[in-house]
Amino acid sequence: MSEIQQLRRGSTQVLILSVLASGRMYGYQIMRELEQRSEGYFTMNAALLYPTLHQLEQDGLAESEWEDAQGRRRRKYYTITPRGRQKLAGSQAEWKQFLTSLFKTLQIADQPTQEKAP
Amino acid sequence: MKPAGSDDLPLASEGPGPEMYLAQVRRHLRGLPEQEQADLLDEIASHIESGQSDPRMGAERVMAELGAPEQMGRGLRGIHRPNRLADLLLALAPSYLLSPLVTLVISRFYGAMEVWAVTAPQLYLGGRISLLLAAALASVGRLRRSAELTVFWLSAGLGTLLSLMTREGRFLPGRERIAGSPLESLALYTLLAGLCAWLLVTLRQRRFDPLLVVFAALPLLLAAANFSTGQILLAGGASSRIGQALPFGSAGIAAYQAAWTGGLSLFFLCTRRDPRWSGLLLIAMYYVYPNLNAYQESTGILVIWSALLGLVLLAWAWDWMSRAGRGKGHAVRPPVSPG
Repeated sequence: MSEIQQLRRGSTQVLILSVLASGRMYGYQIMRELEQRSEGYFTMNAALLYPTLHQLEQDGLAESEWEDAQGRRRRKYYTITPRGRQKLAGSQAEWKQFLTSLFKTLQIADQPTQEKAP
Repeated sequence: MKPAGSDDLPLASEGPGPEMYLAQVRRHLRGLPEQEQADLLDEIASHIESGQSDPRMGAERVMAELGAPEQMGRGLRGIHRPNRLADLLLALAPSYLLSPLVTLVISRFYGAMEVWAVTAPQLYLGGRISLLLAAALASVGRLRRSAELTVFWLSAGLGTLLSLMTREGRFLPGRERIAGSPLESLALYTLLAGLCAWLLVTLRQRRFDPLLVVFAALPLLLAAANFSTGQILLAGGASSRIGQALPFGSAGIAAYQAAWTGGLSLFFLCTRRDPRWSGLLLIAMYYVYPNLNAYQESTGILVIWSALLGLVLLAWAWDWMSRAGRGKGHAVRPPVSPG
Protein backbone atom coordinates (compact mmCIF):
# COMPACT_ATOMS: atom_id res chain seq x y z
CA MET A 1 0.00 0.00 0.00
CA SER A 2 1.43 3.39 -0.99
CA GLU A 3 2.03 6.19 1.53
CA ILE A 4 -0.87 8.18 0.12
CA GLN A 5 -3.19 5.17 0.40
CA GLN A 6 -2.10 4.72 4.01
CA LEU A 7 -2.90 8.36 4.68
CA ARG A 8 -6.31 7.94 3.09
CA ARG A 9 -7.08 4.92 5.25
CA GLY A 10 -5.96 6.80 8.34
CA SER A 11 -8.36 9.60 7.53
CA THR A 12 -11.48 7.43 7.16
CA GLN A 13 -12.99 8.32 10.54
CA VAL A 14 -12.34 12.01 10.26
CA LEU A 15 -13.80 12.13 6.74
CA ILE A 16 -16.99 10.42 7.88
CA LEU A 17 -17.25 12.67 10.93
CA SER A 18 -16.76 15.74 8.78
CA VAL A 19 -19.61 14.63 6.51
CA LEU A 20 -21.83 13.87 9.51
CA ALA A 21 -21.00 17.28 11.02
CA SER A 22 -23.21 18.83 8.38
CA GLY A 23 -26.26 16.76 9.25
CA ARG A 24 -27.95 13.46 9.91
CA MET A 25 -27.35 10.94 7.12
CA TYR A 26 -27.65 7.26 6.23
CA GLY A 27 -24.76 5.15 4.95
CA TYR A 28 -25.39 5.41 1.22
CA GLN A 29 -25.90 9.14 1.54
CA ILE A 30 -22.60 9.56 3.39
CA MET A 31 -20.81 7.69 0.61
CA ARG A 32 -22.25 9.94 -2.12
CA GLU A 33 -21.72 13.11 -0.09
CA LEU A 34 -18.06 12.23 0.43
CA GLU A 35 -17.64 11.58 -3.28
CA GLN A 36 -19.38 14.82 -4.18
CA ARG A 37 -17.40 16.97 -1.74
CA SER A 38 -14.06 15.60 -2.92
CA GLU A 39 -15.15 15.86 -6.54
CA GLY A 40 -14.75 12.14 -6.93
CA TYR A 41 -11.30 11.89 -5.36
CA PHE A 42 -12.44 10.10 -2.23
CA THR A 43 -14.57 7.04 -2.70
CA MET A 44 -15.11 4.50 0.00
CA ASN A 45 -16.54 1.03 -0.33
CA ALA A 46 -19.38 -0.02 1.93
CA ALA A 47 -17.23 -2.72 3.54
CA LEU A 48 -15.08 0.05 4.97
CA LEU A 49 -17.86 2.56 5.57
CA TYR A 50 -20.22 0.47 7.70
CA PRO A 51 -17.69 -1.03 10.13
CA THR A 52 -16.26 2.48 10.58
CA LEU A 53 -19.73 3.91 11.23
CA HIS A 54 -20.43 1.19 13.78
CA GLN A 55 -17.06 1.80 15.41
CA LEU A 56 -17.83 5.51 15.64
CA GLU A 57 -21.14 4.61 17.26
CA GLN A 58 -19.54 2.31 19.79
CA ASP A 59 -16.98 4.97 20.62
CA GLY A 60 -19.77 7.42 21.30
CA LEU A 61 -18.70 9.66 18.41
CA ALA A 62 -21.86 9.03 16.39
CA GLU A 63 -25.37 7.82 17.14
CA SER A 64 -27.88 6.10 14.96
CA GLU A 65 -31.59 5.52 14.71
CA TRP A 66 -33.73 3.51 12.34
CA GLU A 67 -36.34 5.32 10.36
CA ASP A 68 -39.20 3.45 8.74
CA ALA A 69 -40.69 4.55 5.47
CA GLN A 70 -43.48 3.34 3.23
CA GLY A 71 -42.59 1.70 -0.03
CA ARG A 72 -38.95 1.13 0.77
CA ARG A 73 -36.72 -0.48 3.37
CA ARG A 74 -36.09 1.26 6.66
CA ARG A 75 -32.91 3.30 6.84
CA LYS A 76 -30.41 3.77 9.60
CA TYR A 77 -29.53 7.43 10.11
CA TYR A 78 -26.32 8.53 11.80
CA THR A 79 -25.74 11.74 13.77
CA ILE A 80 -22.46 13.08 15.10
CA THR A 81 -22.39 13.44 18.93
CA PRO A 82 -20.76 16.29 20.87
CA ARG A 83 -17.84 13.97 21.53
CA GLY A 84 -17.66 13.30 17.81
CA ARG A 85 -17.52 17.04 17.12
CA GLN A 86 -14.79 17.40 19.71
CA LYS A 87 -12.84 14.57 18.09
CA LEU A 88 -13.40 16.09 14.65
CA ALA A 89 -12.12 19.48 15.80
CA GLY A 90 -8.99 17.83 17.25
CA SER A 91 -8.40 15.77 14.12
CA GLN A 92 -8.92 18.76 11.84
CA ALA A 93 -6.32 20.74 13.80
CA GLU A 94 -3.88 17.81 13.65
CA TRP A 95 -4.40 17.31 9.93
CA LYS A 96 -4.01 21.02 9.27
CA GLN A 97 -0.75 21.13 11.18
CA PHE A 98 0.50 17.99 9.47
CA LEU A 99 -0.37 19.18 5.99
CA THR A 100 1.02 22.67 6.58
CA SER A 101 4.29 21.23 7.86
CA LEU A 102 4.45 18.71 5.04
CA PHE A 103 3.80 21.38 2.46
CA LYS A 104 6.40 23.70 3.97
CA THR A 105 8.94 20.89 4.14
CA LEU A 106 8.37 19.94 0.54
CA GLN A 107 8.74 23.55 -0.53
CA ILE A 108 11.96 23.86 1.47
CA ALA A 109 13.24 20.70 -0.20
CA ASP A 110 12.56 22.28 -3.58
CA GLN A 111 13.94 25.68 -2.63
CA PRO A 112 17.71 24.93 -2.58
CA THR A 113 17.52 23.42 -6.06
CA GLN A 114 15.85 26.58 -7.31
CA GLU A 115 18.37 28.82 -5.50
CA LYS A 116 21.34 26.95 -6.87
CA ALA A 117 20.04 27.25 -10.37
CA PRO A 118 21.82 30.02 -12.28
CA MET B 1 -10.46 4.48 0.94
CA LYS B 2 -9.23 4.91 -2.59
CA PRO B 3 -9.07 7.48 -5.32
CA ALA B 4 -11.64 6.93 -8.04
CA GLY B 5 -10.47 4.34 -10.47
CA SER B 6 -7.57 3.00 -8.39
CA ASP B 7 -7.33 -0.76 -8.10
CA ASP B 8 -7.03 -1.32 -4.34
CA LEU B 9 -10.68 -2.24 -3.99
CA PRO B 10 -12.55 -4.90 -5.91
CA LEU B 11 -14.59 -3.41 -8.72
CA ALA B 12 -15.17 -6.66 -10.50
CA SER B 13 -18.53 -6.88 -12.20
CA GLU B 14 -18.63 -10.63 -11.81
CA GLY B 15 -19.20 -10.28 -8.03
CA PRO B 16 -22.15 -11.87 -6.25
CA GLY B 17 -25.71 -10.57 -6.59
CA PRO B 18 -27.42 -8.90 -3.61
CA GLU B 19 -28.84 -12.11 -2.11
CA MET B 20 -25.59 -14.00 -2.40
CA TYR B 21 -23.65 -11.02 -1.05
CA LEU B 22 -25.90 -10.83 2.02
CA ALA B 23 -25.67 -14.59 2.52
CA GLN B 24 -21.87 -14.39 2.44
CA VAL B 25 -21.83 -11.53 4.96
CA ARG B 26 -24.26 -13.47 7.18
CA ARG B 27 -21.78 -16.33 7.31
CA HIS B 28 -19.29 -14.01 9.00
CA LEU B 29 -21.81 -12.78 11.52
CA ARG B 30 -22.44 -16.17 13.11
CA GLY B 31 -22.22 -15.98 16.87
CA LEU B 32 -24.04 -12.67 17.04
CA PRO B 33 -27.62 -12.57 18.38
CA GLU B 34 -30.24 -13.10 15.63
CA GLN B 35 -31.71 -9.61 15.94
CA GLU B 36 -28.30 -8.03 15.67
CA GLN B 37 -27.51 -10.05 12.55
CA ALA B 38 -30.85 -9.05 11.06
CA ASP B 39 -30.21 -5.34 11.75
CA LEU B 40 -26.74 -5.47 10.22
CA LEU B 41 -27.96 -7.23 7.09
CA ASP B 42 -30.95 -4.91 6.85
CA GLU B 43 -28.64 -1.91 6.76
CA ILE B 44 -26.62 -3.40 3.90
CA ALA B 45 -29.79 -4.38 2.05
CA SER B 46 -31.08 -0.83 2.50
CA HIS B 47 -27.77 0.45 1.09
CA ILE B 48 -28.17 -1.75 -1.99
CA GLU B 49 -31.77 -0.58 -2.41
CA SER B 50 -30.70 3.08 -2.20
CA GLY B 51 -28.07 2.46 -4.85
CA GLN B 52 -30.49 0.65 -7.13
CA SER B 53 -32.97 3.52 -6.92
CA ASP B 54 -30.26 6.09 -7.69
CA PRO B 55 -30.38 6.88 -11.43
CA ARG B 56 -26.68 7.79 -11.43
CA MET B 57 -25.75 4.25 -10.43
CA GLY B 58 -25.83 1.05 -12.41
CA ALA B 59 -26.50 -2.30 -10.74
CA GLU B 60 -22.88 -3.34 -11.32
CA ARG B 61 -21.47 -0.22 -9.70
CA VAL B 62 -23.74 -0.62 -6.68
CA MET B 63 -22.48 -4.16 -6.10
CA ALA B 64 -18.85 -3.25 -6.80
CA GLU B 65 -18.97 -0.40 -4.29
CA LEU B 66 -20.04 -2.76 -1.53
CA GLY B 67 -16.53 -4.21 -1.29
CA ALA B 68 -15.77 -7.85 -0.60
CA PRO B 69 -18.38 -9.62 1.56
CA GLU B 70 -15.51 -11.09 3.62
CA GLN B 71 -14.20 -7.58 4.35
CA MET B 72 -17.68 -6.38 5.29
CA GLY B 73 -18.38 -9.43 7.48
CA ARG B 74 -15.03 -9.37 9.25
CA GLY B 75 -15.23 -5.63 9.79
CA LEU B 76 -18.66 -5.84 11.40
CA ARG B 77 -17.78 -8.94 13.34
CA GLY B 78 -14.75 -7.23 14.89
CA ILE B 79 -16.88 -4.39 16.17
CA HIS B 80 -20.00 -6.19 17.30
CA ARG B 81 -18.08 -8.62 19.50
CA PRO B 82 -19.60 -11.97 18.63
CA ASN B 83 -19.60 -14.66 21.28
CA ARG B 84 -20.00 -12.10 24.02
CA LEU B 85 -21.48 -14.91 26.09
CA ALA B 86 -18.16 -16.78 25.89
CA ASP B 87 -16.40 -13.63 27.14
CA LEU B 88 -18.84 -13.37 30.02
CA LEU B 89 -18.27 -17.01 30.94
CA LEU B 90 -14.52 -16.50 30.76
CA ALA B 91 -14.96 -13.72 33.29
CA LEU B 92 -17.53 -15.42 35.52
CA ALA B 93 -16.45 -19.05 35.65
CA PRO B 94 -12.85 -18.46 36.78
CA SER B 95 -14.05 -15.87 39.30
CA TYR B 96 -16.37 -18.40 40.89
CA LEU B 97 -14.39 -21.59 40.39
CA LEU B 98 -10.66 -21.07 40.09
CA SER B 99 -10.03 -18.96 43.16
CA PRO B 100 -11.74 -21.35 45.60
CA LEU B 101 -10.04 -24.22 43.78
CA VAL B 102 -6.60 -22.68 44.31
CA THR B 103 -7.41 -22.10 47.98
CA LEU B 104 -8.57 -25.69 48.32
CA VAL B 105 -5.46 -27.16 46.67
CA ILE B 106 -3.11 -25.02 48.74
CA SER B 107 -4.97 -25.86 51.93
CA ARG B 108 -4.50 -29.56 51.17
CA PHE B 109 -0.74 -29.02 51.28
CA TYR B 110 -0.43 -26.41 54.02
CA GLY B 111 -3.52 -26.93 56.14
CA ALA B 112 -6.08 -24.33 57.16
CA MET B 113 -5.29 -20.74 56.30
CA GLU B 114 -4.52 -18.16 58.95
CA VAL B 115 -5.98 -15.01 57.51
CA TRP B 116 -3.83 -12.49 59.39
CA ALA B 117 -0.52 -14.35 59.12
CA VAL B 118 1.04 -12.39 56.27
CA THR B 119 3.99 -14.74 55.94
CA ALA B 120 1.79 -17.83 55.70
CA PRO B 121 2.75 -19.89 52.64
CA GLN B 122 -0.94 -20.22 51.79
CA LEU B 123 -1.33 -16.47 51.35
CA TYR B 124 2.04 -16.11 49.69
CA LEU B 125 1.37 -18.85 47.14
CA GLY B 126 -2.34 -18.15 46.81
CA GLY B 127 -1.72 -14.51 45.87
CA ARG B 128 0.86 -15.46 43.28
CA ILE B 129 -1.23 -18.19 41.70
CA SER B 130 -4.23 -15.83 41.50
CA LEU B 131 -1.97 -13.27 39.86
CA LEU B 132 -0.72 -15.78 37.31
CA LEU B 133 -4.25 -16.90 36.52
CA ALA B 134 -5.40 -13.30 36.07
CA ALA B 135 -2.48 -12.59 33.71
CA ALA B 136 -3.17 -15.81 31.77
CA LEU B 137 -6.86 -14.95 31.43
CA ALA B 138 -6.01 -11.38 30.37
CA SER B 139 -3.88 -12.95 27.63
CA VAL B 140 -6.88 -15.04 26.60
CA GLY B 141 -8.85 -11.79 26.37
CA ARG B 142 -6.09 -10.31 24.22
CA LEU B 143 -6.11 -13.35 21.91
CA ARG B 144 -9.90 -13.10 21.60
CA ARG B 145 -9.51 -9.38 20.88
CA SER B 146 -11.93 -8.71 23.67
CA ALA B 147 -10.98 -5.46 25.41
CA GLU B 148 -13.66 -6.14 28.03
CA LEU B 149 -12.25 -9.52 29.01
CA THR B 150 -8.66 -8.26 28.93
CA VAL B 151 -9.52 -5.26 31.09
CA PHE B 152 -11.54 -7.40 33.52
CA TRP B 153 -8.63 -9.73 34.23
CA LEU B 154 -5.98 -7.02 34.14
CA SER B 155 -7.87 -4.99 36.73
CA ALA B 156 -8.46 -8.11 38.82
CA GLY B 157 -4.74 -8.91 38.57
CA LEU B 158 -3.77 -5.36 39.52
CA GLY B 159 -6.18 -5.45 42.47
CA THR B 160 -4.65 -8.75 43.64
CA LEU B 161 -1.11 -7.43 43.15
CA LEU B 162 -1.76 -4.19 45.01
CA SER B 163 -3.37 -5.96 47.96
CA LEU B 164 -0.57 -8.55 48.01
CA MET B 165 2.11 -5.83 47.93
CA THR B 166 0.36 -3.84 50.66
CA ARG B 167 -0.02 -6.95 52.84
CA GLU B 168 3.63 -7.88 52.43
CA GLY B 169 4.81 -4.31 53.09
CA ARG B 170 6.30 -3.95 49.61
CA PHE B 171 5.50 -0.25 49.48
CA LEU B 172 7.83 0.38 52.42
CA PRO B 173 11.32 -0.22 50.94
CA GLY B 174 13.60 -2.05 53.37
CA ARG B 175 10.71 -2.83 55.70
CA GLU B 176 9.16 -5.73 53.81
CA ARG B 177 7.35 -8.19 56.06
CA ILE B 178 8.77 -11.18 54.20
CA ALA B 179 12.45 -12.08 54.45
CA GLY B 180 14.77 -11.90 51.44
CA SER B 181 12.46 -9.51 49.74
CA PRO B 182 14.20 -6.56 48.03
CA LEU B 183 14.79 -8.45 44.79
CA GLU B 184 11.30 -9.89 44.89
CA SER B 185 9.94 -6.40 45.59
CA LEU B 186 11.72 -5.19 42.46
CA ALA B 187 10.16 -8.03 40.46
CA LEU B 188 6.71 -7.15 41.83
CA TYR B 189 7.20 -3.44 41.03
CA THR B 190 8.20 -4.40 37.50
CA LEU B 191 5.11 -6.58 37.21
CA LEU B 192 2.97 -3.73 38.55
CA ALA B 193 4.40 -1.36 35.94
CA GLY B 194 3.92 -3.98 33.21
CA LEU B 195 0.27 -4.64 34.10
CA CYS B 196 -0.44 -0.89 34.32
CA ALA B 197 1.16 -0.32 30.91
CA TRP B 198 -0.83 -3.21 29.40
CA LEU B 199 -4.05 -1.83 30.85
CA LEU B 200 -3.31 1.65 29.54
CA VAL B 201 -2.50 0.33 26.06
CA THR B 202 -5.76 -1.66 26.01
CA LEU B 203 -7.75 1.39 27.12
CA ARG B 204 -5.96 3.59 24.59
CA GLN B 205 -6.91 1.18 21.81
CA ARG B 206 -10.52 1.88 22.74
CA ARG B 207 -9.76 5.61 22.87
CA PHE B 208 -10.27 5.70 26.63
CA ASP B 209 -13.96 4.95 26.33
CA PRO B 210 -15.33 6.12 29.72
CA LEU B 211 -17.37 2.94 30.05
CA LEU B 212 -14.27 0.78 29.82
CA VAL B 213 -12.18 3.18 31.92
CA VAL B 214 -14.67 2.97 34.80
CA PHE B 215 -14.86 -0.81 34.39
CA ALA B 216 -11.06 -0.92 34.69
CA ALA B 217 -10.91 1.51 37.58
CA LEU B 218 -13.66 -0.10 39.65
CA PRO B 219 -11.60 -2.95 41.20
CA LEU B 220 -8.79 -0.49 41.93
CA LEU B 221 -11.16 2.03 43.51
CA LEU B 222 -12.68 -0.79 45.56
CA ALA B 223 -9.22 -1.82 46.76
CA ALA B 224 -8.50 1.81 47.71
CA ALA B 225 -11.84 2.14 49.52
CA ASN B 226 -11.21 -1.12 51.40
CA PHE B 227 -7.72 0.03 52.34
CA SER B 228 -9.00 3.41 53.59
CA THR B 229 -11.78 1.69 55.56
CA GLY B 230 -9.18 -0.57 57.14
CA GLN B 231 -7.03 2.42 58.09
CA ILE B 232 -9.97 4.23 59.70
CA LEU B 233 -10.88 1.07 61.64
CA LEU B 234 -7.26 0.57 62.75
CA ALA B 235 -7.08 4.15 63.93
CA GLY B 236 -10.15 3.43 66.06
CA GLY B 237 -12.16 5.99 64.16
CA ALA B 238 -15.11 3.69 63.62
CA SER B 239 -16.81 0.59 64.87
CA SER B 240 -17.98 -2.13 62.55
CA ARG B 241 -21.48 -3.56 62.63
CA ILE B 242 -20.53 -6.25 60.17
CA GLY B 243 -23.51 -8.38 61.21
CA GLN B 244 -25.82 -5.72 59.79
CA ALA B 245 -24.02 -5.46 56.47
CA LEU B 246 -26.72 -7.45 54.72
CA PRO B 247 -29.99 -7.03 56.61
CA PHE B 248 -31.99 -9.51 54.51
CA GLY B 249 -33.28 -13.03 54.84
CA SER B 250 -31.58 -15.88 52.98
CA ALA B 251 -33.55 -15.16 49.79
CA GLY B 252 -32.53 -11.54 49.94
CA ILE B 253 -28.90 -12.50 50.36
CA ALA B 254 -29.13 -14.85 47.38
CA ALA B 255 -30.60 -12.02 45.32
CA TYR B 256 -27.85 -9.74 46.53
CA GLN B 257 -25.21 -12.30 45.51
CA ALA B 258 -26.79 -12.42 42.05
CA ALA B 259 -26.32 -8.66 41.65
CA TRP B 260 -22.63 -9.02 40.79
CA THR B 261 -23.32 -11.68 38.18
CA GLY B 262 -26.22 -9.63 36.83
CA GLY B 263 -24.12 -6.49 36.61
CA LEU B 264 -21.30 -8.28 34.84
CA SER B 265 -23.80 -9.91 32.45
CA LEU B 266 -25.30 -6.54 31.53
CA PHE B 267 -21.85 -5.12 30.95
CA PHE B 268 -20.60 -7.98 28.80
CA LEU B 269 -23.73 -8.96 26.90
CA CYS B 270 -25.33 -5.64 26.01
CA THR B 271 -24.13 -3.49 23.16
CA ARG B 272 -26.04 -0.34 24.11
CA ARG B 273 -24.25 1.92 26.51
CA ASP B 274 -26.91 2.64 29.13
CA PRO B 275 -27.62 -1.00 30.06
CA ARG B 276 -23.85 -1.49 30.27
CA TRP B 277 -23.56 1.51 32.60
CA SER B 278 -26.39 0.12 34.74
CA GLY B 279 -24.38 -3.12 34.93
CA LEU B 280 -21.40 -1.20 36.27
CA LEU B 281 -23.62 0.59 38.77
CA LEU B 282 -25.00 -2.76 39.94
CA ILE B 283 -21.46 -4.09 40.44
CA ALA B 284 -20.50 -0.96 42.38
CA MET B 285 -23.64 -1.20 44.54
CA TYR B 286 -22.85 -4.83 45.28
CA TYR B 287 -19.68 -3.68 47.03
CA VAL B 288 -20.87 -0.37 48.42
CA TYR B 289 -24.17 -1.43 50.00
CA PRO B 290 -22.79 -3.73 52.76
CA ASN B 291 -20.20 -1.12 53.72
CA LEU B 292 -22.83 1.60 54.00
CA ASN B 293 -24.79 -0.69 56.31
CA ALA B 294 -21.87 -1.91 58.40
CA TYR B 295 -20.31 1.50 59.06
CA GLN B 296 -23.34 3.70 59.51
CA GLU B 297 -21.72 5.54 62.40
CA SER B 298 -18.53 6.51 60.62
CA THR B 299 -18.96 9.57 58.42
CA GLY B 300 -15.48 9.06 56.95
CA ILE B 301 -16.22 5.54 55.74
CA LEU B 302 -19.68 6.51 54.52
CA VAL B 303 -18.16 9.35 52.50
CA ILE B 304 -15.54 7.04 50.95
CA TRP B 305 -18.06 4.44 49.79
CA SER B 306 -20.69 6.95 48.73
CA ALA B 307 -18.04 8.77 46.70
CA LEU B 308 -17.26 5.55 44.88
CA LEU B 309 -20.90 5.12 43.91
CA GLY B 310 -21.08 8.81 43.06
CA LEU B 311 -18.09 8.50 40.72
CA VAL B 312 -19.80 5.77 38.70
CA LEU B 313 -23.02 7.77 38.53
CA LEU B 314 -21.12 10.91 37.55
CA ALA B 315 -19.25 9.11 34.77
CA TRP B 316 -22.52 7.63 33.49
CA ALA B 317 -24.22 11.05 33.59
CA TRP B 318 -21.29 12.64 31.73
CA ASP B 319 -21.39 9.93 29.07
CA TRP B 320 -25.17 10.21 28.79
CA MET B 321 -25.09 14.00 28.47
CA SER B 322 -22.42 13.90 25.82
CA ARG B 323 -24.65 11.56 23.81
CA ALA B 324 -27.92 13.29 24.63
CA GLY B 325 -26.76 16.67 23.32
CA ARG B 326 -26.52 15.38 19.75
CA GLY B 327 -27.53 17.32 16.71
CA LYS B 328 -28.53 20.54 18.49
CA GLY B 329 -28.44 23.53 16.21
CA HIS B 330 -27.62 21.51 13.12
CA ALA B 331 -30.02 21.35 10.27
CA VAL B 332 -31.04 17.99 8.84
CA ARG B 333 -29.76 17.85 5.30
CA PRO B 334 -31.85 16.34 2.55
CA PRO B 335 -30.49 13.10 1.10
CA VAL B 336 -27.90 13.48 -1.63
CA SER B 337 -29.44 10.69 -3.60
CA PRO B 338 -33.03 10.53 -4.71
CA GLY B 339 -35.51 8.37 -2.87
